[in-house]
Amino acid sequence: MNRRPQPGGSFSREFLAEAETLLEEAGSCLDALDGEGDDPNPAKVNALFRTVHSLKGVAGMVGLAGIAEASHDVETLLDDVRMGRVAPAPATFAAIRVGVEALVTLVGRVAAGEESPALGESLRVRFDAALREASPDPLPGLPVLPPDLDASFSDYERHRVGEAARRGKGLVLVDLDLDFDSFDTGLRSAMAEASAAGELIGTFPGTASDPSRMAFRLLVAVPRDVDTAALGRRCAALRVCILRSVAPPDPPIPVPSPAVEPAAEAAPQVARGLVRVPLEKVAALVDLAGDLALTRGALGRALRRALAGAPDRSARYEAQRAFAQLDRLVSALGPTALSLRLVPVETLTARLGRAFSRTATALGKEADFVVQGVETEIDKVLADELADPLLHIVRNALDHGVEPPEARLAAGKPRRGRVVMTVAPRGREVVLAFSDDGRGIDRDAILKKARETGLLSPNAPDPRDPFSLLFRPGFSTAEAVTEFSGRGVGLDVVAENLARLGGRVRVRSTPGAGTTFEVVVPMTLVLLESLVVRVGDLRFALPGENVLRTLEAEPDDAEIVDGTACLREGGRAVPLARLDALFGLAPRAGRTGPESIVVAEDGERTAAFVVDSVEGVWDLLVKPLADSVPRLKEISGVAEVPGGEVALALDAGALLARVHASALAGRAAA
Amino acid sequence: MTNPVRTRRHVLVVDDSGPARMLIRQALDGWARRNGQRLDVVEAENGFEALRELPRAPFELVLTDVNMPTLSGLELIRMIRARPEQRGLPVVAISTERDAEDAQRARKAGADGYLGKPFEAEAFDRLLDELLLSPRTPEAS
Repeated sequence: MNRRPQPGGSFSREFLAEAETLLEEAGSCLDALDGEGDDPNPAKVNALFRTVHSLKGVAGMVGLAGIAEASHDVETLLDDVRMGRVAPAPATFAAIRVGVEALVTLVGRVAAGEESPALGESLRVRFDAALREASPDPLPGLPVLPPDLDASFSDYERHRVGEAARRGKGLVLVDLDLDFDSFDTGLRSAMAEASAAGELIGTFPGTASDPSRMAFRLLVAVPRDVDTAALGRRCAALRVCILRSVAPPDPPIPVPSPAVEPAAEAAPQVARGLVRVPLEKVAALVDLAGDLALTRGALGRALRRALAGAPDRSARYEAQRAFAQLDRLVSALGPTALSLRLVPVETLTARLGRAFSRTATALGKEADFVVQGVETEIDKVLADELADPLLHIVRNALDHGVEPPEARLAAGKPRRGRVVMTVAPRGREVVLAFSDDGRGIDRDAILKKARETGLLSPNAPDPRDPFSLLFRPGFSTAEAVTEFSGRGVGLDVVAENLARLGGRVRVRSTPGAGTTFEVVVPMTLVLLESLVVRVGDLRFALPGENVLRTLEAEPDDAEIVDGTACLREGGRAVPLARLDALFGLAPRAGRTGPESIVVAEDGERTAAFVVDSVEGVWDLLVKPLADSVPRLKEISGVAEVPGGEVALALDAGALLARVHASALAGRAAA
Repeated sequence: MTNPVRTRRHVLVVDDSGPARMLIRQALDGWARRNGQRLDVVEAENGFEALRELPRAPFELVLTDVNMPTLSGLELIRMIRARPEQRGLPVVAISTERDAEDAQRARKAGADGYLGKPFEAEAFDRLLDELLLSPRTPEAS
């Protein structure tokens, strides 16, 4: 299928786009290799090799023989470097750079309309002249490798193994056993960890523990002083086999390891505060921005025409239409922007998976962590905030749920336990369920314990959901305090943290068969447009949709109707209340002159409130108050106001109901 | 024992280059037209995607590029050969290398066929005839 490029045809355009991208990549690879001396990072050499190789491929496909041939020569030289046939000396890379620059020129000639440009002098001839003396040191023998692995080596992998031996590096095999549903995350993350620790020479198939899983073996060359156990943990590996010793000649002085979370867990794949956004979401936002700019132009023109003279009908119509369009676009902007905050729950589950492996090893439990529904999207802030409570639940499942291997065998269960995490959207909420196949929770033991500790009075009837007692402060059934759970930080903190995020947790359990923790959280923490007012030292936030207007009024403007202070508003008297008095706050001393008033309504009732001052309107993230905080019906939660202050979010309905109730009482008394 | 004409046959194309995938797809379409076959072609941009796609449909053929970042085509073929349910799946390695050495490398990793880019339509068709039309020798029982 040789094809001629047609000038301006789709092949030619596609080719140029691809070729330019590849050559740009090649240029940056070369720049990166410049400072690497005579032991260049093989990953970078490979990346350069691949770009030139791909260029050769696309050039060949569209029939650009001259470019294919020149690419082939550069590629051959790079392959010689890769395979150790030519030493990676500065002269070698200078020659490669000459080759890449020649390719840039050739592609430029295609862009200028030339049909099939070629070089006058073959690159191979130039390379041979430049590199006569660059031949490498002889390689020593290969280390002993498992025969199945050795048989499936490619020449390149064999060469890199030899190279690692020659440079005195260690060789390890990292065994991964991953759930099919999330294997690519686990594999990618382990490959990245391996590349960070040394050189990832190759990825090989492993033997999976069951057909629903994927097993891989990563062959990694590492510096001799690398901590292989730590590498295994970072890769969430089943085990690490050492093929070539990595023990340093003198053991280093042991550094006390930090007692808390290891670094891998503290640094999830996506840094806090950053969101990785899929392109289509950005495209939607850019489209909206473009439409907004157009509409603004149309509205501006209509306004200028209207202002320039007597507004004719068409100018008014045009302005109305542009405004309606603007209104529609601005309404669409909110949800689109909000969707940028949604990330796949995968980043969270990967972190939980790593913690799971570590905890299982430390507790001597054998168990698999299976995740279903990793593609479910969740608010980025929520994902960060959920990590701690969910880590607790996962550890709890391993510590108190899954039995030790012997106990499981004795109970007729498979030796390896299993914790299945299922993530699924449900309406505007996300359900995260953790089901273990462990020993389950004995409800009678919970009730007995609750009566002993006084959480339940001796004669009180059994609560409908005894498992909810687990989340009460001071409840712990752990017999032994272990390193991982039962550190005094109990499930009550989990429940409280979840409530702070607007979520809840529920437990189901069958003794002997297992326990399920079901966490339900809102899919996104919704921003609410709010009017923030100040009363004394406190700030209150009132939902924007409940605010009718704000005004300044003299004390004389109030009138007494049926014994209740009222304000004349739109021809009728609405009850007037002081917010400080409603919340039992001391009135501000020495008050004179006009007062700030907010008129609020909830579709049914209207009332006016005197406040000290109106601070402004912001989009606020309102979080519900924790269950343990004593509640006022009129306060729906707390919100952080820009500048770091905290405002109490008012529940307009409850507030209006209270004002009207006291107005009625006043009327009755009068 | 050729398949009935009406059955769609699933083919997986793995290449990190969009234009290359497009050209392979066109070659497949051409072959299907000439042979009265209906193909369901699924594209994967890398080895991870390919491993994820494989269990999703009854694939009868995989065409994979050899040189891909992170997980190479040879690594992908090794994985396919190691999974019992995919062990017999025909895999064609596609690379710009035309020398015997590279073809041998691909065969050693477990490829059933090898194509050098740019491939001739006839060579492509011959290989597809062989892998999709000729009666497969039943596994020795």
